[in-house]
Amino acid sequence: MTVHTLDVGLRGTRDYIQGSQILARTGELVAAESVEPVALLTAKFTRITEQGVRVALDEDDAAEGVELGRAQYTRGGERRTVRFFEVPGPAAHRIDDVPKVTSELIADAAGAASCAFAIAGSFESYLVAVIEFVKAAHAARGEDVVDIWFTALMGAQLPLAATYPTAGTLRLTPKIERVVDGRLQTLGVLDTEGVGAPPSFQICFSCVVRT
Amino acid sequence: MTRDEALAVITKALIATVGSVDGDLAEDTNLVDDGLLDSLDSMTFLFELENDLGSKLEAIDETYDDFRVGALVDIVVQATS
Repeated sequence: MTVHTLDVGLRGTRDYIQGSQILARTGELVAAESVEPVALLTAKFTRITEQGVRVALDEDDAAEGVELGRAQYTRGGERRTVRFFEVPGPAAHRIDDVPKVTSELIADAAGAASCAFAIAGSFESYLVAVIEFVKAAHAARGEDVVDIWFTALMGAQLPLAATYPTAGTLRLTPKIERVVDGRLQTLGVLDTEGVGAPPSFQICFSCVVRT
Repeated sequence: MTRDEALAVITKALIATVGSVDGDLAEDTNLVDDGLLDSLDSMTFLFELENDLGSKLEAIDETYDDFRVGALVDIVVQATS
């Protein structure tokens, strides 16, 4: 059985554990098991938590707690599905916030957007930039858009190695929108421009549009 | 596009979304109500379907919620006629 408690915390004033932290710490665990390069293919979050997070590195591993989501990594061509669980108990510890890494946001009312980014070039710093950007693009659709969450990414090929451009441009092209249980769910294609940029992938967010 | 061809495109999009499908899809199967897709998967499915067709399905807007295979076949046939 390979269930690990992740070293994650509540960053800054947030009252939830960021998906970027969960995906980065899990990727490190997957990468530690092999010399083969590891990449993130998909991630799907169905709940958020302010508590700790455990990851079951094999699909058949039993883990206690409420399931938060799943992700799929590839390691030397082998696909590996992992599951995330909430750790029952108190809220996670607080950790320092990080400065904003995106700028020059341009967005239209339909959700298309672009921005510049400046990051360390690591997997986690890239995820932080992408999520910060897409969240801001949703917020820019109007003051009536609130409670904006990253829920999934698909069709990705995001290496765990620090191969990402340290500066460049992110672009979001909206593709699908659905209203489910009073929340707007969006799927857009995320393109990255910059030296060593990863291929485009689909990213999903959920938000509430107040009427 | 014929109904059979539309069904094949829908099946392909479904497989791209969930990995595999047991058996053939029946027109009265509801992809969401019958548990083949959750709400997040349904976004991916529609994305894959429109990608395969090479165009936006105008009949499917943000409030669309009829995931019966027969209804989707109707939409694909109409959109490609």
